[in-house]
Amino acid sequence: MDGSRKSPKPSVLFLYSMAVSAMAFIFSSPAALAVPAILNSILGFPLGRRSLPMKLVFIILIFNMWGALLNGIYFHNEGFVVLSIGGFAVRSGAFASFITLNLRFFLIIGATLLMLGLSGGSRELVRSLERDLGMPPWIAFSISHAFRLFPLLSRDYGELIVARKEREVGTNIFNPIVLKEVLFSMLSVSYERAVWSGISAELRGVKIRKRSMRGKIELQDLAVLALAAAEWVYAFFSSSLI
Amino acid sequence: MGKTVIVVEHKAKYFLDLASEVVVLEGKGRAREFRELDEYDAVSRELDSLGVDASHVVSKRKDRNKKGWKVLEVKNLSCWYGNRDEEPLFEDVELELESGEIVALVGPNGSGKTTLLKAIAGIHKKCNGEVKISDENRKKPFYVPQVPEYLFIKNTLEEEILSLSKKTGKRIEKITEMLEFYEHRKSSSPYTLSLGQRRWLSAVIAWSYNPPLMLFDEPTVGLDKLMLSELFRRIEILKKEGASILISTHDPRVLAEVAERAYVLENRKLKECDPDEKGLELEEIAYGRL
Repeated sequence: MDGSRKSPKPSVLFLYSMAVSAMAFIFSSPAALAVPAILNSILGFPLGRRSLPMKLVFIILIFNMWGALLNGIYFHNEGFVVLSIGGFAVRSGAFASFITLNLRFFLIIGATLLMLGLSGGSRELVRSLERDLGMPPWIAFSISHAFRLFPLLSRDYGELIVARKEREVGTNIFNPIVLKEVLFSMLSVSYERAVWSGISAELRGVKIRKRSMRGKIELQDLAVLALAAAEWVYAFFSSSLI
Repeated sequence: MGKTVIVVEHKAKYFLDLASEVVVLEGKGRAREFRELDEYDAVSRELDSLGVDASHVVSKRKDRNKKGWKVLEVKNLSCWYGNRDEEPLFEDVELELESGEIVALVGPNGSGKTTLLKAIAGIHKKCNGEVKISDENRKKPFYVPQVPEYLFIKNTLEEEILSLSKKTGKRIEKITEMLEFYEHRKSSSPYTLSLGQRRWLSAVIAWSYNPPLMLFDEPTVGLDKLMLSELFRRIEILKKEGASILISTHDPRVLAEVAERAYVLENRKLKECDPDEKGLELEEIAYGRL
């Protein structure tokens, strides 16, 4: 079966997203993060849009931007003045902090969306993590379940908005009260689903399942790993490590 | 192969001829064991008395006199899931429903029952054809999803009912008298109610909006026999309140016990059928005899 596949292995995509996300925690200069963040966002957002409710992602991005701005102004407002609003000066340090935090976020979410968009279903991900990386089944299941939640969250979100329209209550999730209610409903539905998924996995003997042999690494897998390596090399030479 | 198989099931009747032993968990650590299953009828009766669904469905007499006005008229309705140049999920659907009627919609998985309900509610848009709703207040039908939690918006039952009352103008007392568990569960999160209570709360939410038609999507999934009887009793209450109801279901008991008329959706076509006959047919399929 592996011989006929066109997309990279889910395990390779998982390694890619881990390697690229790690860059967000290791490199701190905007110069090092800019190209990987833009590249992963350009690739990840179109590929991952079927796996996640994009409207919700954008809302979270906007909240993140506000958080990053406030964080920059409170803790890093030093250096030369970039912007002056009334009597208040936004300095280069705040601006750099704002840019860095957002690049990190875009890098992580872009790489995650890229992985979700290309890795197929959760079953393929579990199998691939166990077979290729030798991951214990219960860890592979937990990771896979977390990623499987994204498409389910997307469906829940759609259904919740339909139900809210029927109930003639707000659906604009830019409104914090509506966002709180929608998130609370999504978490409540997801929690019950997670409990039953765990019980179902236990009953199906996830821990005692036999593992198959390792699969072959193909050209598309090497391309993904090479891309991760190239991003690391670029970031390394563009910035000094913390 | 010498394997031991344990089946956990509300509808024990479908497994009685296969089982060598039945254990009924009664709660509070109590359990009843049935090892002699040869006396099928006696065992069924006893299991039934313990709240286990162990007997065949029996059709109940239903008032099928059409007295109301046409609440719903669907003409030549075709719906798609993907592109419109692909084959439709179903086509040329014709359906009618009168006020105060309870009608069942059956069909195999993937036949488009949920999509049909959503198209009637105006939620599914990729459709051609006509859906006419007659309501003096120009209200839309209310779709009650299979996952009842989608309809909840507040953190406690009390807040949920307050918000519902504000939005619909229905008096709080009028709503809470439909919820017999309200007083002792009002501080609880609606998400922590039992499945039967959550399903009923979602139905009461729908009813509070006074829709011309309520569309229930698989309302009996996961309910044990006692909960199911409760649901049927409550659906009869809604009917007495003047509600018109279309229920999408696989459950023979819905057809035999509450549905006055039924439609079957299969092979992309909708046909009217006799609810009692269809109920028995679904029961036979569940027994593996068809």
